[in-house]
Amino acid sequence: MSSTDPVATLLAELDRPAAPRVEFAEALLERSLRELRAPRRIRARSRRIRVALAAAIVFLLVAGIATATYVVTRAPTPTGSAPGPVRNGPLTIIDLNGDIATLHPSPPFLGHSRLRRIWRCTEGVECGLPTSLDWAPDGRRLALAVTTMRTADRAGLHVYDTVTGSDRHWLLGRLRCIELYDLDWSPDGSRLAYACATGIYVIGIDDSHATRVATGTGRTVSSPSWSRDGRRLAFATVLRGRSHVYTIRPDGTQRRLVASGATAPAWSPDGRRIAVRTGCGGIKLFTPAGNDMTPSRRRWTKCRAIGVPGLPTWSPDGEKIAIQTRARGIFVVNADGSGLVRVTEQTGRGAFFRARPTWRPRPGLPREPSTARRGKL
Amino acid sequence: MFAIALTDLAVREAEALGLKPDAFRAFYDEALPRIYGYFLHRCGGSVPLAEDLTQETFLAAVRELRKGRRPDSPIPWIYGIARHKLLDHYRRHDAGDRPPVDASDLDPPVPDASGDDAHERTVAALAAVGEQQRAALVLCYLDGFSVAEIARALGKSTAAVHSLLERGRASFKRAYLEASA
Repeated sequence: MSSTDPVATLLAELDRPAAPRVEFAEALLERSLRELRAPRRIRARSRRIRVALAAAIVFLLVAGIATATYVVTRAPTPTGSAPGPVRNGPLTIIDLNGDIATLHPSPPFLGHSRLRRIWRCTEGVECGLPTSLDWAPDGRRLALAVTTMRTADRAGLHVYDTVTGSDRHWLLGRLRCIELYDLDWSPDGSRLAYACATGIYVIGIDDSHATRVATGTGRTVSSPSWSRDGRRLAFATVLRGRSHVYTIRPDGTQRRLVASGATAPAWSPDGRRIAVRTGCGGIKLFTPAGNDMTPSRRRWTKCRAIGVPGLPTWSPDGEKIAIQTRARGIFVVNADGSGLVRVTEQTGRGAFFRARPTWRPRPGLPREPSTARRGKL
Repeated sequence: MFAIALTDLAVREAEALGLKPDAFRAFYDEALPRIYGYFLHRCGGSVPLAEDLTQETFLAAVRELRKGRRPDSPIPWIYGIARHKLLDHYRRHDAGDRPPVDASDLDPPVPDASGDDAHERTVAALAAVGEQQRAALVLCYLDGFSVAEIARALGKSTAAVHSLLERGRASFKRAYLEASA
């Protein structure tokens, strides 16, 4: 557009201020000032909103911290993997004859299950007597501690594979024990812990020799039980005439007291509870940090225990506890303290009267033997 | 770019402009004649239309201030708002060229600072030009838009803008000469 264009020249002259009507100018000023004052109320309201939001955030933070603290102190989550969909198989015990038998402590057999013998020694004392047994987490291998009265060729630790029929055998010398009991598989099925008169030992399934766990509590130790993540062992000991339950790392470090006046610990499959036998009438549950979380169904008892006095064993799904009594047989109780029932009158205590029943996990189990096989599972 | 020199407002008013009524009143007194004149001369001298657009502009400015906006240069800033309002007005009336405004329908001559008759004739001539042609002329000669910018602002092709400008110049010349006769 040329600057010499007369239209451009004329129009450019238009850009100059003009005085509006006085009424219009005053009315617009008044309205503008009125609008200008309005934001004070809006800002005050937004300030209140900000304060409310800040209060809500603080509340959520406090609630989150409180919840996290509660979770950590009351029910610590194990670092291992979450429990899988493992179902409970039959309960396996050592019967009065030293044979191995199973029973189903679940409906419809609850309280009415018949013992079904799955292993029998046909060679008398020469084939040994079971002192302890424990099913591996895969439900396929059974660890069996055997003692003999005369010959030592079959004594020791056996791991039977029910699928291949193989028998992994460690002699007592490699186990550094004369008699061993309280077998317990690690949750990953790679190690076995056991107790004997000289202490607590751990042996890997591929190891040739066992390793002693330096508990630092003397030789009177028993009942090793693995944590869910396999990083700690719970065990019982007697110090100055009083029973205590501790947890400890397998390398003998970081020993922590769980409960006093308690023995025979059994770590739950979810890793959150440790069931112990107490001297006040039953089983109590503690967190690994030592907090009592026994269900309060029996408030009238002096220590709020569940079940009956005996040695506890958790079911694979963590819902039930089998309790082996000294002379009244084996009971099963729900973990919340309900549904106590005796499933057999047999004590199943084994050759040294310390064996506990073991629940066979059911993660895709092979068929059980239809009839008792002699000398084999 | 505005044809009006925008640097004559002291920068200090920018700092004072805020939510204080006194500061806003000072800004208002400075800006109102400029904005009103801006619309009045671009809308063919229509006082009601200029007042409406001026009001829209100031209320929009107040809303911005209310949100916490603190312009560094208040007068250019409110001119920017005014330009958007003018373009919105042009777009709203983009239903085709309307008949030129009859000079007799115009409001009484607007008193201006110089009292120059040529100014009144120019306003009257621009009012007589069709609305779309006037928009093109205003954007081109007063606001310094390029043809492409006018086309973008009015939503038309550059060829259409060229045509509008050509016809608008002819109409403006004719109306101006008639007013001068």
